[in-house]
Amino acid sequence: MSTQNGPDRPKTPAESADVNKVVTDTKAAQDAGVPMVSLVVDGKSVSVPKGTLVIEAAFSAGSDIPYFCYHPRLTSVGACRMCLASVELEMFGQRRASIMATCTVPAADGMVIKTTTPDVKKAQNGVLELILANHPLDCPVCDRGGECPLQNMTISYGPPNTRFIEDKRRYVKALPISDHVVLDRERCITCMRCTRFASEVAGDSKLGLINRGAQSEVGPFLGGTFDSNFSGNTIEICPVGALTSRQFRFKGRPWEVKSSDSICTKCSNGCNIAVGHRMGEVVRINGRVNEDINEEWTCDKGKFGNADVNSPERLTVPLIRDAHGALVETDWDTALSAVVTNLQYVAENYGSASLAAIGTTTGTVEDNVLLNKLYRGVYSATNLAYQLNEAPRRLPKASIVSVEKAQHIVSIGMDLAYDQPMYYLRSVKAQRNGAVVVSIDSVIGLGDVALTPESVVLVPDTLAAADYQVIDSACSAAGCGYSVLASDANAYGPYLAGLDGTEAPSVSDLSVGLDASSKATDVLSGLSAGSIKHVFVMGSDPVTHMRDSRLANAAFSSDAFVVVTSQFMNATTAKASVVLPIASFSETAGSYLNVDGQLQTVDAVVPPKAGTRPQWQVMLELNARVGNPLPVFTPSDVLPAGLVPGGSE
Amino acid sequence: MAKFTDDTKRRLDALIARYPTAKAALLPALWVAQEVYGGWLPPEAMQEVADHLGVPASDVAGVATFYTMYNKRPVAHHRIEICQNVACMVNGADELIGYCERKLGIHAGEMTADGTFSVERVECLGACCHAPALMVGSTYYENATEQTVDKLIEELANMPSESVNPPQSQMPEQGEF
Repeated sequence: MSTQNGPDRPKTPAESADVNKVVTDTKAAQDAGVPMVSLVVDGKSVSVPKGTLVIEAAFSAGSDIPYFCYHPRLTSVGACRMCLASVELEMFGQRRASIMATCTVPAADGMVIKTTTPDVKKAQNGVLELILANHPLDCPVCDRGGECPLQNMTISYGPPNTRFIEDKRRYVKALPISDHVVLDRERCITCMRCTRFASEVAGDSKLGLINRGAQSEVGPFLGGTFDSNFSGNTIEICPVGALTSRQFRFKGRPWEVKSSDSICTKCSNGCNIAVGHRMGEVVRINGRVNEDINEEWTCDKGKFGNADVNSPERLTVPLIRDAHGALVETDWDTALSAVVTNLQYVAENYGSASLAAIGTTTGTVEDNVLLNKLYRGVYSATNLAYQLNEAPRRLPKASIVSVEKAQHIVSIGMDLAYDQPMYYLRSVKAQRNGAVVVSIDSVIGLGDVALTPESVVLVPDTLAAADYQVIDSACSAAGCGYSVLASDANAYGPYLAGLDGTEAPSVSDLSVGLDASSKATDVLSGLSAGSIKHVFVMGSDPVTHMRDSRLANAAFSSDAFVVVTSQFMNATTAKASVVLPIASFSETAGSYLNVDGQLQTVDAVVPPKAGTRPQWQVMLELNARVGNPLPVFTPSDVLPAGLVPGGSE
Repeated sequence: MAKFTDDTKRRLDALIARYPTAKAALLPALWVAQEVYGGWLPPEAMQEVADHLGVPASDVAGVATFYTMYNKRPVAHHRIEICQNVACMVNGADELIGYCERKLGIHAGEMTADGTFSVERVECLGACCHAPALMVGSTYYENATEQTVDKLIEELANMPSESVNPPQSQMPEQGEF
């Protein structure tokens, strides 16, 4: 059997992320003053913080060691035995070298590591031959084929053939274990990455390992389902095709799937994602590294929920209300003309006080800038609002990152794992470090919680105004303050766009808190009273989302001319005069301010679905049609001065 | 349907008190659960242990399925466990197992249709000096022959089942294992 190593191989994105994570952690430990140890890896001397694993020290020396079960964000278990290398150290008074699993050995002073000797190669060959003994090698029909660590490691480190001629173990193929995940136990190499993820990162232990030896298999608790809001991550960290996505299943080979950087807009956290698209269609969402937000994880809402961009329910034709009061399909030119005609008519006959607009908290800052330029800039309208909820307008005191250092975390009136997934994952981290995490259904339970000045109180932005007063007084008394966590992807984007008339909006002002009211209630009252004759509702659905649904219903049942932009039909579009079908998050460029105040800018990933247009282009066209042509070529041209387009790493 | 009574829970709490963490009491807790659930551990039993110890159910399942002496399927009232290791094997354990199989009309590892008897191959019972050895409940039968089995089956057929677990008195209430 050959012990030849395969060709030099560039690192896959996942491996690069692992190596970068190691480098980042090394720097952080150095900055924190952790003592250093010195060792030699393949003839090169390196110093690493005490506690660094040998495999990580080898990465930082530029050496390569193959691995499956090792993951920089999970505890080491040494389950796969792939990371064998020669470790020479002082033992019992003399220096000895032996082959060790380097993901379980902490680096020590004076160690000499060798990763390329014939002995090491033979050992790595042997481990891979054993791992492959029970692996079905059904790569042609495996979704992982082409981006599979097992394939990659076999090319670089594996034996060219197998001596195993006996029967491989057989299981039912493609066993669905949840709505999103399919399990293939034949492919599983029992590295325990998924089970460790479930217990250490997601904190729900929804996956476990049962039986033993060659019969070991992963799965949800006997007879149950893998119902976790973070199940999708196990698909990404699985080093083989044992856990695959039901959504992406057989949608294309990985090498046909292009990956583009984007930001998830399913909630306010702003997770960095890589959108996989094939021939212009979004086929899957993977996590992308951003240590300040999602590390490398995604929640299932973001990972699988974004498939709605391909939904046949998407609006693809503008709608206009005809003489009989029915919404009928029309073309863009007619729809936009109708909007402009009414806008000019109302402005001339009733004045700017009769014009109103509700900005978007799910679209981009730039969308709102252009909305503001049209209504405030051209028509001097002041009835511009965006806030559908009753929460105080203030960035949260506790950032996503800060939560992992908290000692006492209280969440009120929300399902943290679903509503604020990245806050939840950090709270799991905190809990593993001994923090107490309390979740109460409503403010009624607040009296039973002993708050201290160190408590981190997390509150959704969907409560009633009176609830915030209760929370405010309880938290003031305890001296801890509280953090209102926005729900929408760009809750304060309209503020940054100057929609509420602020001259120089800034993120730091948002941290302090805003006084000026920008509540949609004023606009809706004006609508129902008849003083507002024309309203532009950008990308939101007030009829569904206003707490005061009676007011919202009355407002949109009035005679006013209502323009709504939306991707889907909803309760507000049903009452609109004109409905404009807009592009999804993946089809439009722009900037979003996430829940804890990080501004992130992204490009469009795929072209807009046929018939739809990005919101900013719609606003550009409307500006031009009312005689306000703007020299704008990309959304970033309109980003307010002082806002630096944010880096997603 | 939860089967743990207050008494069960008291026994579990006494076990938990012996260890630094509740999770460490998992093995003896599973013995208690197996006794309460009639000799085997259905998923509900594992769930109850998980709930009482505050350990994830998937971890409990992992441990319970790792060890063969936790039964994952219903067991017979009287389990005839015959040692198949070297000393017993050379003294006729295989023939003895074959005799039991023919007499009861089942294969080793199966139980009779009425659930009274099962025959099981087990590893060393530590009675090599009196091989072949077999065990029913917690009673040993050494130098076992076909006549031993005949007598045994006749006697047991009309007897209530004995606990398949070590009797409680053998488990120290205090002290170290």
